[in-house]
Amino acid sequence: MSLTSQPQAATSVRFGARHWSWPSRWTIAACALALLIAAPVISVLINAFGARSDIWEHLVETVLGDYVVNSFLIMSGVTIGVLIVGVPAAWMTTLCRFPGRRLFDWALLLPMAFPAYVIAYAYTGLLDYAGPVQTSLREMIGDPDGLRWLPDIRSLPGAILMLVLVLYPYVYLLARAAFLEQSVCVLEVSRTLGCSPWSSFRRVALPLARPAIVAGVALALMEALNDYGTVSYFGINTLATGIFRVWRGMGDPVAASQIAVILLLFVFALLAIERWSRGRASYAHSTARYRPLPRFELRGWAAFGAIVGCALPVVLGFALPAAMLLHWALSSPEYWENAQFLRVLRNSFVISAIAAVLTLSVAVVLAYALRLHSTRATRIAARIASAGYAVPGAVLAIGVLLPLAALDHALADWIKAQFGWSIGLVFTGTLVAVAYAYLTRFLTISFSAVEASLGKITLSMDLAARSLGRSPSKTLGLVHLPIMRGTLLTAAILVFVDVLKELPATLVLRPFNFDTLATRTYDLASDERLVEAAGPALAIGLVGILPVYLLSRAIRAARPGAQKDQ
Amino acid sequence: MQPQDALVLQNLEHDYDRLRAVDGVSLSVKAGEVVCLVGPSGCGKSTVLRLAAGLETLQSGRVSMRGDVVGDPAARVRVPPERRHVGLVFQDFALFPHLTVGSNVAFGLTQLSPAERDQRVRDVLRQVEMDGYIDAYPHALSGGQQQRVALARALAPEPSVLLLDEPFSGLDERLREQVRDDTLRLLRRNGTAALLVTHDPEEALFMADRIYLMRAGKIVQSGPPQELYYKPADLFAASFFSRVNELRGVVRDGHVECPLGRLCAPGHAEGARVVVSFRPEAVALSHARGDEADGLIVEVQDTHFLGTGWVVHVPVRDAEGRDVKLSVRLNGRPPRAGDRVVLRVPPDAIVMFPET
Repeated sequence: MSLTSQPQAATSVRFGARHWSWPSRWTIAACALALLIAAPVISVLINAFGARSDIWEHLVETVLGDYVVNSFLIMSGVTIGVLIVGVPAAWMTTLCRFPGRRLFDWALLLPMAFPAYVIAYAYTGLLDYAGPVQTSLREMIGDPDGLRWLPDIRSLPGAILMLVLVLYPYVYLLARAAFLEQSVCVLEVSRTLGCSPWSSFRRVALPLARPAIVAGVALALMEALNDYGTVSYFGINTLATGIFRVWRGMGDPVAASQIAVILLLFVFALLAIERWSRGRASYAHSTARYRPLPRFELRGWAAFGAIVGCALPVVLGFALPAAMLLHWALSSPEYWENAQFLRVLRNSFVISAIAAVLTLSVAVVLAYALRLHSTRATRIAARIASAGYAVPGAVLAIGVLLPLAALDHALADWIKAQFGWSIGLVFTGTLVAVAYAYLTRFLTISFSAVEASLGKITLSMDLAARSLGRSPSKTLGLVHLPIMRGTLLTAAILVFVDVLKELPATLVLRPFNFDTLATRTYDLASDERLVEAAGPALAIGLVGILPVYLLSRAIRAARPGAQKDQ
Repeated sequence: MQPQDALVLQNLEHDYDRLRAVDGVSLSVKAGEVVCLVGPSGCGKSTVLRLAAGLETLQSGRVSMRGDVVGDPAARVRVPPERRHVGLVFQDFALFPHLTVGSNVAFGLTQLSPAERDQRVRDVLRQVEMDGYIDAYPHALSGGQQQRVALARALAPEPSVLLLDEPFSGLDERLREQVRDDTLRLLRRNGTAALLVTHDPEEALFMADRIYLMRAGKIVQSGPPQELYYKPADLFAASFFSRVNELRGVVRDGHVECPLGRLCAPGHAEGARVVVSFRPEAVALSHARGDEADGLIVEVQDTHFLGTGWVVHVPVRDAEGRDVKLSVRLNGRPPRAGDRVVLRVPPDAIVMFPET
């Protein structure tokens, strides 16, 4: 091989003392992808500030206050709820010993399997006038007309309860990790200084874990703001439902975009809080000595309390709604033993698989660009691209649909004028729009997984491959991807399941007559056909167990010292 | 530049942000030559290696291989590392964990037919005595075996020059010597030109045909190992390769007054402060009888057994009245603490530097 001095693709030019060179293809790809991810939010901003709405003043005078207050109340309620459920559960399963602890360690993650709107349907059926709970209570007290005073689950507190039951695992997971990472020595010192389990929790463990807990609450609140299915089913007006009502009901995309901007303000505040606390969390523990944790033995009433405290969220957030759905599904199999259900199932699997592959590919390009060229441009691109999970589905829906629809019409008109063909709606009439929305929202999951996994491969692997005659792209395909395949599969599964559960963006952006498990469940439940909705709802929950299993496995592997315990 | 030079670096400069890591480094590796770039950690030697391989974008200077310019920002030449035809061996070996030993070695053999490739893989693995492990995965190998496979992988495509970055630091001490020896033999047998970066002076002396000594981004001295050891360019070069004894003094009438006597100080200005240095093994000790005409009579402070010999500490008072402890390396039986001995240093073992 001759090494003549021919100019190469990447040339380097001297400008005075500093150097300037063309950005590499990877840098350009990363920046383009970041722009693509940011486009929906940018489009919402342009829509909100670029035009005047006829009804905005009217909205401000009437319902907007309600939207904001309700969203705020939900956030407050969810904050209190996830803290009360998640933190003690994490503390008890990591730093105490009581019967069933090892079971609860992973069982506490089970409520993640269901999205909030699914358990909302289950509880509505369970608790309404004709449901099994009220019926048996009435039989017990022997008064067929009694219990009118019972509170309705379809209310603001009810919605908060539903959200808490499925979102507390965020706090549980992060608090759990923080408790495990705390220096054994610190905890041992607190014990030798005579701290009781309670005071050790309050004075040592809790303050050290606080940044992680704050991050967990921020994540839960982002999900709460994203929720559309539960609140719209319970008839509560929040910012998320407001976007849809103003946009679809009143036909005013500008006002809807303005509401979306308010929602984004909430979300970006949470995002800032989350990132800030995560930054602090890394300083919160100094030593990494993995030894079996000194667990407090709980006995008698304390052990009983721990069991109840851990069992209640699992029963209420998973077992009870699952049992209700299972009962419905088994009692009326004709609703799901049919071709239509299979079609819906296939639709869901196809779109989720497409989204998973797409998301993962983009994540690989971004993470690899960042590895090859860690410049300011790629770092900003990665930061933008990994903020998508914060953008609520309702905001994404409007942010994706408005520009794509405009693009569609422009393209169709142009083709018609040029060639006389009618091509239909290329973006909004196909899976492109919905896949785009999924990519934006779920890129974060796969990006952080790929980035972490790439980080574990030493840089000398790259250098070795390069020196052995392979280009950066070849190196990616021959070295990095095969080494990372386990992580890639896990990331793909996580995205797959999240896409399957996603409701608001899917509702708006799916092609005409394209039903998924989520939209079918929502449509049936909205028509009060809860028994019919049980089939698809249960299917969502079954698939949702997959990430729970993966997470619980990762949890076990994460801390060698913890396995030797008991 | 000679056509037979495998690698020539001319006047390389490299800044990290505003920190100058490499400052005007020039070096060459001739065909079949093993050259060591040695220096304390953080002196910029690894950056030089990365610039040579093209893993770091060259900011200023020129890199040529076998007479072809492969990197020169002024001429807008930048051949990417995959087309420079260099072999790389790392401290962590960097074997691809998902590939077998055979596939690792075959990784760079893209130009060969499958049959030729298999043949070459077998040949190279036989050379490093790893042919029995062709289907094993890297995690099943010991550190020394991994190092041999890494070497085989780098040598298989017959690179213009082999670049080794602290290749033996990952091995434990006992194994290191053996692997060093094997590596050197292999490089000699293949006639491979090699640039080895190390922080270990002993390794550089052992391996190198020529040594470049680096400090703070600059080449301090270059030459064959003996030259650097016995004719160091400055006090840093002298003390880098082994401990030296230092005595300070001032030049008066072309001579320096020091405990060893009045020494001739050619090339040093009148009134200059100088350091008189000599290595501990250059010193001879003998029991004092009291009638010596030359030498310095001193009292032994303490002795330490090192296994390969002894180190003896003797305190002296220098010309300016300061107490200095001299080290003496002896192979035979040492005197006892408190013994009075005569200390002699042959004049050709003494090197004098201006005090810095």
